[in-house]
This record gives sequence, C-alpha cells and structure tokens, in this order.
Amino acid sequence: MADNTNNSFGGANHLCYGTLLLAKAAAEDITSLTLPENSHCTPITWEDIPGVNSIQIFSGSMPILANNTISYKGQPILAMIGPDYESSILAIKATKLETKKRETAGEEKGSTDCPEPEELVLSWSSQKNNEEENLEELKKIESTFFSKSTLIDTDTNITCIAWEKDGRLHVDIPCKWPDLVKETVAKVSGYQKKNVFVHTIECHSHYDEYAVFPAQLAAITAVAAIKMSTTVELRSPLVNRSPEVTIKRTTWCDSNALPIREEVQMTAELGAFLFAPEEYQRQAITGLIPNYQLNSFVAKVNVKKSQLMPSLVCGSMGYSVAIASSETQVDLIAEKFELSPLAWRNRNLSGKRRFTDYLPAIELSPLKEIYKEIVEKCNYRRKWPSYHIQDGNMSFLDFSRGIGMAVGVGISGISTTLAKATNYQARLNYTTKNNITLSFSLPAKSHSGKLLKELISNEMRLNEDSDVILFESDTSSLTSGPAILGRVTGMLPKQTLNSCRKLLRQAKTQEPPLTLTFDVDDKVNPCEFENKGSMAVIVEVYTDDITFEPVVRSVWANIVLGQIIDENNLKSRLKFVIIDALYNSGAVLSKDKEHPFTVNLNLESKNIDGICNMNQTIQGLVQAAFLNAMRQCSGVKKLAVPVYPRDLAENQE
Amino acid sequence: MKVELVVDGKTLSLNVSSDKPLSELLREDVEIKSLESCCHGDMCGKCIVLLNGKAVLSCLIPAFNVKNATVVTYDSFSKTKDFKDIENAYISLGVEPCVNCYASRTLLIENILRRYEEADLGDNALLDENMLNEIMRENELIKCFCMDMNSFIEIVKESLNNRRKRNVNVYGTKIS
Amino acid sequence: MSMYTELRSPNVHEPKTIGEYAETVINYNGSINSLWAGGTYIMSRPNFYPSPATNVEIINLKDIEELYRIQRNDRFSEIGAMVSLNDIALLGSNIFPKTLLQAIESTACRLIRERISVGGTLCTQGFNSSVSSVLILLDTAVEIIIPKKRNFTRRWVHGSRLYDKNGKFVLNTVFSNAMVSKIRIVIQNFDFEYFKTAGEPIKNPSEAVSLAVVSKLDQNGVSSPRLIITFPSIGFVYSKDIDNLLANLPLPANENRTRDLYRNILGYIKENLGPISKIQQVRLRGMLKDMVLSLNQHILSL
Repeated sequence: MADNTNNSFGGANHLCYGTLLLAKAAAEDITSLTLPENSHCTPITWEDIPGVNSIQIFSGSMPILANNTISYKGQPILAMIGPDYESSILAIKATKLETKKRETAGEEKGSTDCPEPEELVLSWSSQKNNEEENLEELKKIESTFFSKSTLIDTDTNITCIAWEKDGRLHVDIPCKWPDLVKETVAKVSGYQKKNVFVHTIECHSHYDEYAVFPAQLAAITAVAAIKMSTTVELRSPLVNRSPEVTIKRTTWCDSNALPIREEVQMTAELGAFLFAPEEYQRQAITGLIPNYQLNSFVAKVNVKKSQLMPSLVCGSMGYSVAIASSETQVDLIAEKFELSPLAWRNRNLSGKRRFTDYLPAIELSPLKEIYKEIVEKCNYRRKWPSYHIQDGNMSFLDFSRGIGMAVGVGISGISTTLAKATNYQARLNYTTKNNITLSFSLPAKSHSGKLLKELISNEMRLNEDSDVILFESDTSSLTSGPAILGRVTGMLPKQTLNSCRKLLRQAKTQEPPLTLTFDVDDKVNPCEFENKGSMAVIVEVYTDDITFEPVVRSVWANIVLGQIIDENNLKSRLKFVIIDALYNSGAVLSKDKEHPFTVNLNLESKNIDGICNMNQTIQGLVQAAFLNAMRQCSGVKKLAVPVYPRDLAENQE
Repeated sequence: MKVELVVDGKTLSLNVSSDKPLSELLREDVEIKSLESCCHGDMCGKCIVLLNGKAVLSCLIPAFNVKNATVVTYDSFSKTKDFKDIENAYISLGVEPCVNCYASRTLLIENILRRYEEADLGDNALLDENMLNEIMRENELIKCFCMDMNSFIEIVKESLNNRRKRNVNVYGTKIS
Repeated sequence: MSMYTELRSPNVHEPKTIGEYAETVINYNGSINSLWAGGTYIMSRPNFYPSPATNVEIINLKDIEELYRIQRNDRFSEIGAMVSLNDIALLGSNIFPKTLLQAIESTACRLIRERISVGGTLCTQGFNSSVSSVLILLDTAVEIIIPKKRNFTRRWVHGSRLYDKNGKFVLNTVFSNAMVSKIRIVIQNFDFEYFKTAGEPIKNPSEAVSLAVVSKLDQNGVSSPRLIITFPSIGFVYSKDIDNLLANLPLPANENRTRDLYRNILGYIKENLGPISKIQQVRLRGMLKDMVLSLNQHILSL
C-alpha cells in the first residue's frame, strides 16, 4: 500500500484498513463471538467505544455497533482493522458469530428508542345532513396501493478515513449531512464537538444513501483511530432501503362521478429504529390529499417498526408514494364511471383544493393547463380508448399496451414543525473585500452549491467565480441540517435571497463587514409545506409478450418550476429523476429500433423566488402514471410497485 | 505474487495476491480515487479502465492477468486531449453522467471512439443499425440510470465529431 | 502490500503448450482447483476474493498459443477454446448459423463478450449458457485433451458429451483432468432458425430461459427439426421426443396446437428436470408461440 505520510490527513506514520461485520439476520441475540486467531487484525466492538454507542437523528437513536442484540439484517456488529483490506476481510470471514432468535422484543442498550407515534389524522367535513344515509346512494371505489420495500444496493463503497492530531479528531468522508457526522463522532469518541473536524468529499446521492450511514461509519472509524492511535481507513458497501407502504383508499362518488367523501388509511414500516416518524407522517398526509374537491375527507397515517434496516429517507419521506396513490385513485374512479381519466379530470379539476394545516389551498383548474399540451403531443385522446379495448385480455398477449397520466403539485424541504424543532442556520457575510461568503454546514462542492452561488451573484450583481464564496462552516455554532429532500435546492435559496436583499439594504447605511445569520427554514409559512411547482406526466407502456417486462416507450412531462438556472443541465437532471422513478417502479426502457425510449420534457418557469426541488413529486407522479398505464396494459388491477415480470406472470393462466 | 504493470504512465511493481481483482488492486495498491464500485464482479459497470488500450470491467480481471500490462484509469485519462473530445460533447449537449458513473461512462465512450477509429469507418458508420445496437448494449452495462439511451448515442456521435475535427486540425487531412 | 498476502495467494501456472499443461496437471494431480480461461464467470461469483482457501493451484491457459488457433474450410471451422465469443461472432458473421450468432450476441455486450472464451462457456460448472446449448444443437464437436502419464491424448467427442442428458457438466467425471482444446462448428444451412432469450441468466437464473430451434422446411412442413431449451441454473432440455413433436406439428399451426406443443414440452421438463418457475413457464410459452408464428410465416411463403 502506498505510503500516506505526506498526504492531507497529515502526520500519521501508517494506515490501517478495516471492514465491517454486518448482521445476517434480524431480531437475534448474540450468544458468542469468537475472533480469529493470528489474524493480525484488531476488532472494534461496541465495548471499545469511549463515548456513547448511539447515533441520534431527530427524535430517535440507534446503536452505532450492535451490543448484544441484533435488530436488523445488515446492522454493523464490529469492525475489523488490519494491515490491509484483504486481511481484514478474511478476519471478518473467520469471525464466528453465534446467535439465537430473540424470543421477546427487547430494547437495545445505547438507544433512546423512538416509539411508534400515534396515528396522524387529517379530516374535514362539510356534510350537514345525515352522512350515513347519503353514502348508501353513492358509488364506492375501493383500492389498495402497495409499495414493496426495496433494498437499494448502490454498488458503491463508502470510504472513511479518521486520524487524530494535536488533540483533534479529523474525519474524511463523503456525506450529505456533515452536522450529523460531526455530532455523532463527537458523541461516540468523547471529543468535544469543536475538536472534531469533518472534511466532506464530493458525492452524488441518488437515494439519500449519503444521509445517515456516513455518520455511523465515521464514528466507527474514529473509534478505531483512537484505539489504535493511527490513521484508519474503513470501507463498507453503501445501501439504503425504501419502506413498505400500504395505502387503502375508499372514495364515494355521486352519479356524476363527482367525489363526495374519501377515507384513506396509510401504513408505512420504517424499520427497526424510527428517527423522525412524525415528519414522515406529515409528508405522507400532505400527499394523500387528492386533487379534487371533497365534502368530507379522512386520512390516517400510521408508522410502524419492523425488523428491517431503518429507512429514514430514501429519495422521499412518504410524499411521493402518497401522491402516487392519490393519482392512481383518479383512474379507478374514472373507470368506475366508464370515463377516460382525461375526461374525468377535465370535468372535475375545478375550484380550490381545500386549505389544510399541511398545504395552502390550491386552485385546481390551472392543473388542466399543465397537462393540456402533453395530452395533445402524445395523442392521449386516441391512444387511451384504443388501448382500453383490450379489457385485460392477456391470454396470449396479442396486444398489451397502456397509457397513464398523473398530475400534481410539489413540495420541497422539511415541514415547518421540524424546522422549528431543529433551528438550522446559515450565515451571509459581506466582507471588506466587497465579496459575499455564505457559510453553512452543507457540502459546498455540489450542484446545489453552484446554483446557490449563481443565485447570490445574480441578486447581488457580483462576479460568481471570484466574489461569491461558499464556505463549509466548521464551527459548532452553525448547523444547517441535511442536504436531503431538496432542503438545499428547495428551501435555502429563498431564505438566502431574502437575506441578500436585507444585506444590500444594510450596505447602503453601513460599512462592511456585515454579517447576517438566518434560519434556513421558512418559519412564517402558515402551513407545514409550501406548494412548490407542479407537474403533469403521461407514460406509455407495453408488456413484452415473451419476457413479460413492462416496457416504457415514451414519457411526456410538463413541469412548472420557479427560477430556472441552466435549463439544459436542469432538464438532464430531471430526465434522470424520471428515468430513475421508472426503473424503481419496475419498468424497462424501450430499445425498439423504431420506437426507442424517449422523454419529452417541457419546463416552465413561474418566476417564483428561488428554486423548486421537484424530485419527490416527479418520483410519485411518474410512478402513478406508470402504474395507471400498467393497469390498462395488463388488466391486473391489484399491481404493487415495483412491478416485476414475475408478478405479471403470476396473473396468467 | 509480484506484478509489474504500468498504471497511468507510472511503472509499478506490486506484491499482491494473484487472484486480486484489478479493481481492488487499483483502489488499494495504487490509490486510484475514481474507482469506488464494490459490486465484486456483479457487473455494475462502474469500474471500467483501459487495459492495454481496451475498456474492461476491472473487477473481472485477476492480478495474474495484468502482468506487464498498461492500465489507464480515469484519473490520468481526464488529463488528456482525448478526454476533452468527450467532455466538450457533454458540455455542448448539456448532458453529463452523474458523479457515480462519470469515470466509467467516459472511458466506455472512449473505447467506442477507438473502435471506430481503428475500424477506419466512414461518416455514416454511426448510422449503421448494428453499430447502434452495440452502443446501446454497452451503455446498459453501466448500472446507473442517470443517462437515457438517446443522450448516450448523441454524446458518442458528438465526441466522434470532436475527435475527427481534432484529427483534421492535427494532420491537415480528414481522417474518417 | 502486506506480508501476509503471500500466505494465501493462489499459485498460478502458466503453461505455454498443451504438453506443459498436461505435465502440470499430472504433477499436481488432484490439487488443481481451476482452469482459467476468460475467468468472467469465476470472477463474478460472490466471495471469490479474498478467499480463505489456502494452497490453491490455478492453471492459466492464456499463454497456450494453440488454444487461439482458428482453421476454416468449406465444411467446418475449428476454433481454439480460448477464442473469445466476440471473435467467433466476427469470424462467423456470414457463415455460421444465425442462431449461434444471436446466442452469442445475447450473452453480453461486446465489452464482456471480448473476455468470454468459448471453452470457458462450455465448461462452466453449475451454469448452462445458451451458447453451449446452441453449439449442442448444431452438432458441434469438441476436442478434449486427456492428460496421461508424461503425455496426453486428444479425442473428438460430440458437444453433448460434456454434459449429462439434462445438461449437467460432467466432463471431469468422465475424463479425469480433461480440458476442451477446440471446437468444430459445421458450416450448414437451415431453412428455419429461431433463437430467443429472456431474463438475466447470470444474475437471476431462476427467471431466465432461452429457446433455439433449427430445421429444414419443405412443402410438407418441418423436417428434421431440432429444439433446445436452456434454463441457466437447471440445465438443457432436448430430446428426440421433443423434436418429433415439432416434426409432427401440422403447419400452419393454430393456437390450440401451439398450446398442446407447449403442454407436452412442459410435461417433459417437469418429468426430467423438475419444476420451473411460473415466469419461466410463461416466457417459454411466449417463445414457443412466437416460434410457431414464425414457422407458419415460413411455411406459407413456400
């Protein structure tokens, strides 16, 4: 191994390398742990942790290394540190771990376990008469939306290097939540937070896999570095998991296909440890509100624990799966009344969606404008009825095509309640050199960072490259939270712009240096979330009559956003989110020579201050449109996402 | 096992386990930063390097098969003029791979360009159906969904144009 | 690198000739763990590296020049075992049956095909590739090297002899330490060829299936048809009985007859190979239907 004496993690005279032993089964007690003899490796177990064996995320916590109980498959049990990776991996393979199935669900040491929250309920009713009587006269549409839990293996290693120098603990790690890394390393190592230095490495997080696990890995690496008094490099595969979600929905409509009442029950399992279950409930319930007017509505969201890997956030916190279920319900309602989903929407998208604590009232008729153009472009009016005549006849799959649409509004960032509870901040400095520095504890070397720079330079009329500097703050007094759920591209820009304007006003009366510390979350927002942009999407699919793969031919999408900076780049990124959502729904993309897969994407800017992050919304709506198309194509009404060929095969004779 | 090879222009003599995959060797023994894949032969496609001028999945090549070989990784390739042809295509089309697959996808495109150059194919070669099918299959090798097929083909075409223009400038005549 | 590496590093032998290979095999009788051709399949197995096994002996075949030789005449091509699938496809693009070229193309993209040797494809333990099955279908002969004391013998056998009747690789149980050195593909024409594959054979073998059919056609229908089905983790399905079913299929065949053909083949599979997954069943059904439709078109155009 090359000598690292002269590299950036200064001073250590040699490096050690380690890997993790991960649990192979859940809910077990460790009865014995036999370490290999003569392996030249040093194990790091929970007993080696000088501080607290726990990682705290929002209101929940979990052990860094399993103590005597294993809660979920994949939980780190120990790290093996050796002279090279080969030795440490072999030592891990030679470690004998004996376990027995846990008979009773026990609390783990080292965690102040977050309990399952109470059911979150949102309801309204403007029904004055006896509702029960009316319901019997109405048509009832029942559906179950099921999203399977999927383990997302990124095929990527995450590597952390930790070393101690002059009483300070340094950590090199790619991550999207530097605060959490710092906090956790300090807590686990027993070092003061000010003596922990996190050097973030640029990374691209498709599924928020860089949100939580890096902190856990960094803490273990730091403990190893302290124990062995040397620089330690620890490597582990990076995975994340999406939760299993079931949404049962019943809609009562009058004879004109107008929804009158709706009841929704959503249950999500978030794994062995819960971190911010209430936030999940808030995001989910916001997505469960459908885009049609209702006299009465009841939505209930339950979050459950399970014996699976904890799932804090995986590209979404419930919003995307919830809007997907809302939009698939529209197709089922339309079908009940033998209408096309387009005709139904044209008829019923009017008036205002009700104001709730979660989202302000939304005018529904503008949504028609969003889909109008793509409906024409894709020839939806011809395709939908012609595909509809299949009537679920897949006996020998002579003809199996489908086209589905979905429309919805977006949210980005975290809820006002969570923002108030966390107090994330950033700081804007107008220096004596007449340049602007933005200090925050988020990764500056990222696409979002570049966007922020451009926003500030535009607002302050500065040269972006030389006059605007993003500074990753390493003080313990400034925490800006995680770069997940579009917190950087969704909420921070608006706050930053407001602060820029304030700073400009101050600069007229005061000499620099000027400093403005601001909360990155909008606390004046009357609702939990703000409506950020909207989208309409149409997906056309067919089922391959031999492979049974759901093949997507084309996607037409119209997305309304706020300020658009670098349209080409943004289009490319949004295309990726669309394609990713399709893959995660089980789709494959058409390779047909005459009709290869295409994405027809149109962006509109509505001059909203700042930038919208539509990722959660795109994921949900693309999934809904795909599922609607697949239902038409396969004739199978109870499809779960992701849709696998074997699921379609199971429905065959 | 002692393995002598040239990586990114540096001659190295390494003492490694003979069955060590080239990807691990490059990551651990040569400290190549652009290789973070860990699929262990599961063909995620994110560990592509140029082995003796040809793109390979480095996780499928054992150390004993790289003795006296020349390996080019993205780390050094990104400093070449050949890379500029591809980078300029990304910029002009406004589409680029994500951080996770940027290195592999770029080397894969370079491999396709070299194949075209070697075969001395004419201007219409890229319209050949079989060639396009081949390119599409190769793009699927990389298990990252940040780029759709059409964008990938456009990038290959644009890169090839850039390469040809550069060759015309260098040699004064058009190299087809 | 660590000093401990040497302790477990497999010992790699690199013979230059078949004679040296045979000598190595005899010297290390019984302790050779693997013959290394392209290595793609071995390297893609989970936990391949690092392996806790010690005293591992590997024979790397890459330096045996003879294994790369290609000879051609009007009747057949002889191809060395180390020739890559990609080179076979390039070499045979105009002369080999389309079924074989399609099977090779379906294996993987070019970048991977360049690393897969035909010998490795035929001799992979526990994995049945559609290329192997098509080679059997085309009556490909295989030359095997059988090391003897200080010497070796060469022997040509039918490709199917490498496997038992259900496709399990048995070469080493029949001939100790034997190695495939070359294959002989007969240049032949068929009036009808069909090849389809579905699923991911390496990553998800329990859902993958492929079908290959070759036959002559005349006004009376199909003559001397041959059919082979591949289930990557189970084996091959081919027999005279199945070929006869196809030969007796009145063409053009309607949906009922196609269904009967499928049911009979499925019955044969269940009886000989055991159960297959539902997705494999429906994929096979789709392929058979597609194949019969194609046959119908051919017959009607005669």
